[in-house]
Amino acid sequence: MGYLLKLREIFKPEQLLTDDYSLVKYASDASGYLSKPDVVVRPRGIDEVAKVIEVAYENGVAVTARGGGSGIRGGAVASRGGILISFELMNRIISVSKADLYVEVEPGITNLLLRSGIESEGLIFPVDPASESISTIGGNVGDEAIGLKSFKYGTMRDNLLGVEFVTPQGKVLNWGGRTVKNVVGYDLTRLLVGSQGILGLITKMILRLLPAPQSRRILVLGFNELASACDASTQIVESMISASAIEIMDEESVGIVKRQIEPDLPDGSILIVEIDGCKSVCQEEASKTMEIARKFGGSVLEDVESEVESKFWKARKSLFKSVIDSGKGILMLNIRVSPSRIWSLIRNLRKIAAGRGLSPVAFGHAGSGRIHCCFLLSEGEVKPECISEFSAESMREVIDCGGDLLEEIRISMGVKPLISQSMDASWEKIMRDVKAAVDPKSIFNPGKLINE
Amino acid sequence: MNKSRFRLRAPADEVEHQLALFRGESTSYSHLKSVEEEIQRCLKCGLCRSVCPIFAEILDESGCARGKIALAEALLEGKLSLSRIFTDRLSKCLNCKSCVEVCPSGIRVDEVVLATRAEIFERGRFPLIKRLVFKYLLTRGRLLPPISRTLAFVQRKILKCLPQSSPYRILLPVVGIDKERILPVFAERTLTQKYDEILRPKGKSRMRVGFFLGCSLNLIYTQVGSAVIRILLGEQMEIVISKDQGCCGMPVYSAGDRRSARKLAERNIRAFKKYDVDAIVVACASCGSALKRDYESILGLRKNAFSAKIYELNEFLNRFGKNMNAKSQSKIRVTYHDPCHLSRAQGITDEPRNLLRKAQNVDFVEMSEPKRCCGGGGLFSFTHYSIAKEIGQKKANQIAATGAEAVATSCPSCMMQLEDMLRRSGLPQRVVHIAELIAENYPPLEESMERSHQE
Repeated sequence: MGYLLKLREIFKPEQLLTDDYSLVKYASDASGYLSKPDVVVRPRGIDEVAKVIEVAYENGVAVTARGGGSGIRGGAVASRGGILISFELMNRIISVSKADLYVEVEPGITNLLLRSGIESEGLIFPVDPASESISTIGGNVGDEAIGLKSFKYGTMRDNLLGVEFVTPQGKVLNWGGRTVKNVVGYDLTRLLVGSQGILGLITKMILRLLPAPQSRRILVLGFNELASACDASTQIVESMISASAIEIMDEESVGIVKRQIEPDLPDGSILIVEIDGCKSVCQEEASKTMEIARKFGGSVLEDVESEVESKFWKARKSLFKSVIDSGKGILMLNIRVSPSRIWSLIRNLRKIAAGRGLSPVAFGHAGSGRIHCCFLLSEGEVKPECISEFSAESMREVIDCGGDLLEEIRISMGVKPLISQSMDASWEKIMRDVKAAVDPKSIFNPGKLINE
Repeated sequence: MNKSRFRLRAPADEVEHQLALFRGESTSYSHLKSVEEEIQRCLKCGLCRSVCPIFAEILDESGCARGKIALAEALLEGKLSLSRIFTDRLSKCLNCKSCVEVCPSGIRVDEVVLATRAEIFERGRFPLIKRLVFKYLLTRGRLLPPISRTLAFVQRKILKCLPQSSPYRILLPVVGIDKERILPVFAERTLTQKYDEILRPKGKSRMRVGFFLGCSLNLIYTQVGSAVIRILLGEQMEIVISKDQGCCGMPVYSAGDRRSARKLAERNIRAFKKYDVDAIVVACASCGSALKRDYESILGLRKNAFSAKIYELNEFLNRFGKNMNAKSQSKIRVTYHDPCHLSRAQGITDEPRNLLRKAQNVDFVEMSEPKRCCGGGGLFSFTHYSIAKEIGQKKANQIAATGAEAVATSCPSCMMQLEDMLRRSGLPQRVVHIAELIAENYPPLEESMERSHQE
C-alpha cells in the first residue's frame, strides 16, 4: 500500500485508521455484508477529501463513502477493499437562510439532527426516512431517500438544490445553487441523487426548506381488511384532500404492531393520513377524511396533532426493523406501483405466496406508490431453488400490474441479482457509459449499482 | 490511563497483536461463548448510534454498541486477538444501557461488553495495581474503613481537600486522576463506625430490613446514609447494618474480574443471611442493579433468595412507606436526574417522582432529558475524563436551565459526577441524594431511634 504514506501526510493520526480493530468496525453496514477496507480515513473538510481522492485516482485505489452505515444495500461496504472515507466528522450545518429557504450542510450530519437544528427557525426539511436518527444526509442523497411526507413534498431528488462534490480526478465542483431553478444544461445535482457514490463524493449539500406548517393532524384509521383501506386511500386522493402523507399497513403488519403498542388493537388493516396546513383547512380536510373512512367501514383509532403524540407513527417507522427482526423473512421486495393498483397487486402476490408456504407482509407509502412487501416463512423449510423461482414469479406479477421493483443490482456482493425486465440491456449500457465518462478508472464504489 | 503518550502508537500494537497470535493465547473464550447468541442477533442496523452518549462525543464507530459487537464477533471468530487497542476500545462504555433500551433486536449489549472485559481480565491484560487492589483490598472489606480514614486525614490535613490551586494537584495523574477533577471528600468516620449494627425504632417495628450501604455511602456520603436511616426509622422499620458487608462488586465485575466479584457477592450474602431480614434496602442505584441483576450472572444462579429481597430505596418507600409527614414546610425548587442503573437497569422512574411530589419541602420541576446519562459511569469518569466531561457538561446545562436550586438523584456515582460538572461550570445548583430531601419529611433521628446509637 504505497499510497499509505501519502495519506499519512494528509491526515492526522486519529483521522487515519489502519489497525484491524478499526477496520473490522467499518467492514459492514446494516446490510450484513462484510468486507474490510484497507484503510479508513475520517476527513474534516473538503480539502482533505479532495486530496485523498487525488491520491486514490493516481494509484487506482477503490474509494467507498460511508455516513451512518445504516444502509441495507451494502452501499457503504468496501467490497473491493481500498479506502473507506467516513464522513462522521463532517457533520456541521454550515448556514441556514429563512428568507431564501435553504440550508447548507456537510454530508455527515444525521437527518434527524439536521431537521431538529432548523426547527428553531420555524423551518422544516420534509424528507424524513425511517432511519432518520442514524442515517446521514450524504447517504440520503446517495440512496435517494424518501420519507413519509414524500407524497406531498417529494423525495430527496426534489429537495436538493445544489452540491459541492469531488470528481474522481480530485477536482472540486459546484453544481446547482441556492434557488429553485439554478441549472443550465445537464442537471448533475439530480443525477447524483441515487447514484450511490459511483459518480463522485459529495462534500456539501444545499437543501430546500419549507416554512413549518401552522398546524397538523395525524389520523390513524382502522379497516377490517386491506382492500377497504386501499379503496379509502384512493378516494381520499380523488377528493382533492391535500394530505402530506398516506401510509398503509396490511393485516399482517398490524399484527406485528399490535405486539408493540397495544394488544387490544382490533385486527385489520391501517391507514395513516397526515394533513398539514392552516388550521381551518386541516379541520375541514380531517373531517372529510374521517367521513370517507367511515364510508368504507373504517374507524378512527387515533387523532392527534403531532408526531410525538402518535403511537402509530413511531410504530410505522420501526416496522421495517420489526419485520426483519421476526427472523422468518425470506424475501423483501421494494415495489413501486400506482397507488390505485396496490390492492390488486397484493392480492395476486398473496395467491402466489400461499402456494409456496409463504405469507406476505405489506406496508408502505400508499400515497407515493412505494410498497415494501416482505415474505415470511409460514411453515416448514424452504428450498433455495424455490426462492429464486418465487422471486421471478413475484417480479413478473409486479410488472404485470404496471409496477416495478426498486432493487439495485449488487454483483460484487455475491448476490445473484434480481434483473428486472425494465432494467434491460439498454438501461445497463447508458448507466455504464455515464459512469465511464465520469469515472474512467472506476475507483468510486466499484461493483455497486451496475455491472462492471 | 493514557500510556500511549510515552510509546509509539499503531506499530507497537500491531506487534502486540502478532505476539498474542504467536503465543497461541487461549482462544476458548468461555465468557463470550455464553453471550454468543446475543452477538449473532445483531443486525448491524446502527440504531444504537443514535442514543450512545459516548458516540455522540467521539463520532467513532468504536464508541457505539454496534462497533463493540463487531469486535467481540471478530474475537470469537478468531479474526482478531486481544491487545491494548482492543482493551482501549472496550473501555469506552458507560454501561448506561441506552443501547439495550433502543435495540430493535433487544440485544443485551451490556452483557456482551462485560463478557469481553472478563476475557481481557482473565488473560492478565489489566493494570497490575488495579488487579491487586481488586484482589486484596476490595475483597477484604474490613480494610476499607481504616484506609478511607487515612485518606480522609490526608485530604483534610495535608492536601486541604485539594482546592483548585493546591500544588499537590500535579500528583493526581500519577494515580490516574485528571488534575482538574473536583474530588469528593472521604468521611472522617464511616457509617458502620457511626452506628450500631442493629437500630430499632421507638414503639413496635413493622419489618426488619437490612441496609446495604455500598462503598460510597459508607465511606464518603455518610450524610446520605444517615438520611436513609432517618427515613426507615420513621417508617417503623428495624434496621440491620451488617458489619460484614462490603463492596457490592460492581466496579470489579464491570472491569472483568469475575472471581473477585464472586467473592464479594458471597460475602455480602453471608453478611445478611445471619440476620433474618424481610427485605434489604439499598440507596445506591449501581449497587442496587448489581445486587438485583448482576448477582445472577456472577453467581451463576437463575434466581437467588438474596436478590429477591433487594429493594431500592424509592421502590421500597413507594411500596411500604406510609408515614411521610404531611406538615407543610418551606419548599426548594428541585429537579431529578435518573441514574442509568435505576431507570434502565431496574425500571424505576416513577417512584422517585412520586416521592418528590409528595414531599412537603420540594417544588419539583423536570429537566428536558432526565434519563440522559451524566457521564459518570462509575470509574469511567476517572479513566476517560475528557469524554466524561463533554457528556456531563450537557447534563449540567440542562440542570441549570430548569432554574432549580438543587438536583436530586439516587446514585452516589452520579452525585460525584454532577458535583464536578456543576462546580466546574460555576453553576450554583447543589447536588443531593433524594434521601436527603425525603428525610426532612420524617421526625429527626433522636426522636425515632430507640436508644441513642450515635455519639
